[in-house]
Amino acid sequence: MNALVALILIGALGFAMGRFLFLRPRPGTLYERFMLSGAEFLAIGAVIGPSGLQILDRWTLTNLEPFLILALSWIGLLLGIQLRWRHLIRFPWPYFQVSLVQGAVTLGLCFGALALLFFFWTPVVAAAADRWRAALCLGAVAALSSSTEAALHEPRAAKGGHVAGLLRFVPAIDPLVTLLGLGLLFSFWHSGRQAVGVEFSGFQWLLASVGGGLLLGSLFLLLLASVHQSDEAVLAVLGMAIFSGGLASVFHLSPLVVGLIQGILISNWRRQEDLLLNMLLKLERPLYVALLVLAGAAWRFDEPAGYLLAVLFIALRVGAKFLGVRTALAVTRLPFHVPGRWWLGLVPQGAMAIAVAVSYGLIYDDPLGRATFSAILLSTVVLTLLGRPLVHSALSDQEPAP
Amino acid sequence: MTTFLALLVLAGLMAAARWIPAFGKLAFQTTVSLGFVLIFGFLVGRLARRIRLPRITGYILAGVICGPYLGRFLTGPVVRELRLIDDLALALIAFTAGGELRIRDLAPRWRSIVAVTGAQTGIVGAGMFVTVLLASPLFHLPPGVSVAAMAIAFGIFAVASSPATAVAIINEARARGTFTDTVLGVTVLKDVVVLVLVTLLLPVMRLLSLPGATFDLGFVGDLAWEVGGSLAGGVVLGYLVTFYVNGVGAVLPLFIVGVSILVTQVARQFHLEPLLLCMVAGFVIENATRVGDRFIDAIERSSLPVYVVFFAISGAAINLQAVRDAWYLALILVVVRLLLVSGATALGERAAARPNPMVRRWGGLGFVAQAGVTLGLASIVARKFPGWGEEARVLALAMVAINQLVGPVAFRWALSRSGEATEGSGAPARNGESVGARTPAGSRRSV
Amino acid sequence: MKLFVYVLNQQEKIDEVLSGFIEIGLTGATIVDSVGMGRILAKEVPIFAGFQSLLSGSRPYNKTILSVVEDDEKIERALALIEQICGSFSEPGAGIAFTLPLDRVFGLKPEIE
Repeated sequence: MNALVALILIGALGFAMGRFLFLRPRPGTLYERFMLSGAEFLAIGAVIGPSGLQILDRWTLTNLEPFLILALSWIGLLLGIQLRWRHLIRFPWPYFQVSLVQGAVTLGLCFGALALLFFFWTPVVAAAADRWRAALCLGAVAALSSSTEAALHEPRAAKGGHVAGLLRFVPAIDPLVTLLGLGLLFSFWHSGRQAVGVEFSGFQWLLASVGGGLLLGSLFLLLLASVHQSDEAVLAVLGMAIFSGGLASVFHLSPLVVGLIQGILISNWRRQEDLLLNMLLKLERPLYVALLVLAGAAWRFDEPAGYLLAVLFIALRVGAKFLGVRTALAVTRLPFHVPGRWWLGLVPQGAMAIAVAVSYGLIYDDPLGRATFSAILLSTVVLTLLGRPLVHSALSDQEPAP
Repeated sequence: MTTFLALLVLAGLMAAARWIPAFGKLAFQTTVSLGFVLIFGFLVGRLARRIRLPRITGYILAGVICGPYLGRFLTGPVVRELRLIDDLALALIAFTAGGELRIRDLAPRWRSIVAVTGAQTGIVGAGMFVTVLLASPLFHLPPGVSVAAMAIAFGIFAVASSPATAVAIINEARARGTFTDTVLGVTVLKDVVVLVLVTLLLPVMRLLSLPGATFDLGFVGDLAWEVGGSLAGGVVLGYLVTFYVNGVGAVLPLFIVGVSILVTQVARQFHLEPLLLCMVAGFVIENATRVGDRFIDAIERSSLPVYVVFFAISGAAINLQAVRDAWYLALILVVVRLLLVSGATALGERAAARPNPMVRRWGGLGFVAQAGVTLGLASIVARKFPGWGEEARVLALAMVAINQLVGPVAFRWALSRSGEATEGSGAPARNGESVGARTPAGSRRSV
Repeated sequence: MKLFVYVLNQQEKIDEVLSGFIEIGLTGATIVDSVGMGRILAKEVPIFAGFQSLLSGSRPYNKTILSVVEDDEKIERALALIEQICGSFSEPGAGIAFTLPLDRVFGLKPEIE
């Protein structure tokens, strides 16, 4: 099928079905049973993709890569643009401490465990560099949790209480650890030697990522200075998302990371980012649906290595999360008591995991990389389906709210 | 100031991407180039406006500057990939063209429109035919080549103008009035006429230039299907779109983009003419339904990025090599064409119930611009007539290049002279709202 | 004499709307901060915008603009302006507007043309 036509149809699906994604269940309505979790779109993608019915063949998927790059850039921008300093300081530092420590420890433990494991054994044949990369990628994904689950299943906001509030806060911030990990991955294990042909050290690539993000952010700001009308603003956002995503990809860096840095720069420099934020938010759901469908299509579900790795990863993730949260709570002084099972609420894995998987998969196409992609997709699905009971359990023995 | 700085940073980043070896997969290359074109084109368009040139000339110039012949920010394969956007752009333009034709505005002008179209077809076509015949010694053609066939080809090339440019300029200038309606009407009608002309004359040209070619009447049936089917299809499409706008009404700009792409794909499959389809659909929506305003408004909201890329890529695709090789010949043809078109327009306008002096004087300038239509014809000719086709194509390329650069400026100027351009003057535009009356945000808020 | 009431959902457009009102001659208005009921039972669960959703919580704020208008024509212009800035009323997100006839009005200053 022609790439453009496929894109239109997937886009139409995204707009039509996006509203049903993660619906807060309303008791007594049809929606309660009808909520979509995202796995459905992965399934649709898998069915129509090259490993399934081949409605979308591999060549078409390659032609759709620019769209994936746009989506990743968009997501990075969206994440970054929320991180406005004057909003960040409204939250107490211990909250940040919990999120960041939890993320870092989880990443470290998971990465360490996998690196050790891969030293001795991998589910598929893999070169040394590939093993480190895969371990770091999975570690980075382990660091993040899901804002969606926490928001969906918490008790009503008014009755929330501190514990539930913290549970919503952590997943909003721990993607930063993930993207830091991703940035390190793309820099220090740059696929570059073979593909880009320039010999930079890992540290130089890291500098390039950050510098590139800042430069692109400055360009964005300059551009926005000459924009006066809303259709010009749309062009600016579209153009910058595509350009920066493409630029990052050309250098085999992650559009997510570059977009994040851009977003942070923009949101802290200008006064009126609400316009940008709203514009980015408008496409959040359709883009995510499209991303899911294409990720599902790219997924080679006939390769068994992915399933094995998924099981391994889920086990490691749960363990690492537990220890990570324990550590974070131990070193942070919170003014309220956090119940023992609270860490379960951070186990579900959110949409960002899919984005990370796609970003990784666009560049690293070795067998272990594909298994990693597969593992991330599968673990996200499983953990999303378990989301509700996990969050309920996490919040079940919290103190009654005032 | 910020514009220049932005251009500098942008160019710098793109240069880094281009010249660091092993630029990467074509998909990545295309992506970064698309983003680059969007922003670069937009900024150059802004600059163009500041020096009183039409924005689309800015877009075209941006394309020329960064194209494979000059700046080389965009490579040949990338430009070819990005031409995919042509379909989308032309469909949107065709929708707009159809949607801008209101029956009550056109009715009093129909005599003029038909007459001008006829005059242009006849005078320009024949005139160019004669010119090429007379100038043939200058072409250094190999012996045995049918000059007559080539002359016919140029006759057709000369008649065609660019609906895309016309619509884009009218849009940019927010022009309304009899002058605008006439030019638009003639441009749309001419598009159909050219289609018919090509189909009718191509076999004649084949007879003249290819030895042993036979005359085959099958093409009449094909033509009937192409034109008739497109007309009917356009009506159906118009009602389908109306149905969506009334029924669902959500995300209209993206819906129209999606429909444009799908329609072009489907039309090709059925050997219909996508431009005609979309024009008719736009016309139906505007005149036979009540969603015309919403429809046009939605198109306008999605058109900016598409126009920028479309015109920039058309600029990048201008074969500067061809221009350099054939410029003096091309210049002769351009000047002759301009004179013929102006004369034909003035003549045709006489037939109107109330001849508009502006049309008589400056109307010709509305038809100078040429673009894709003519280039497409040239490519067809090059393919079908191996003896002289390629030469003709190169010359046509040069002619079109000049017209493409000069045409928009000429038309914009003519619109200003006619007094119908309202951009930036604060006068009410299409929906009676004030144009250019944006208030700076952060102004007085307490009342 | 009518009371023109407009509930604006897209809060970021408040400046544009009010400036536009002044331009069309609607110079007196009162702005009230209000909260939307429907969206408390919100479907708006964040996917990537987790942090943002913490800020606005699950209670989306909007602004209600009240204005006494003498001239029906001004109301038409106000409506056109709103549609231009916030989108068509027939699409979600533009908010709600309505008018009420007024009986007696006190304290209304003459409008500055």
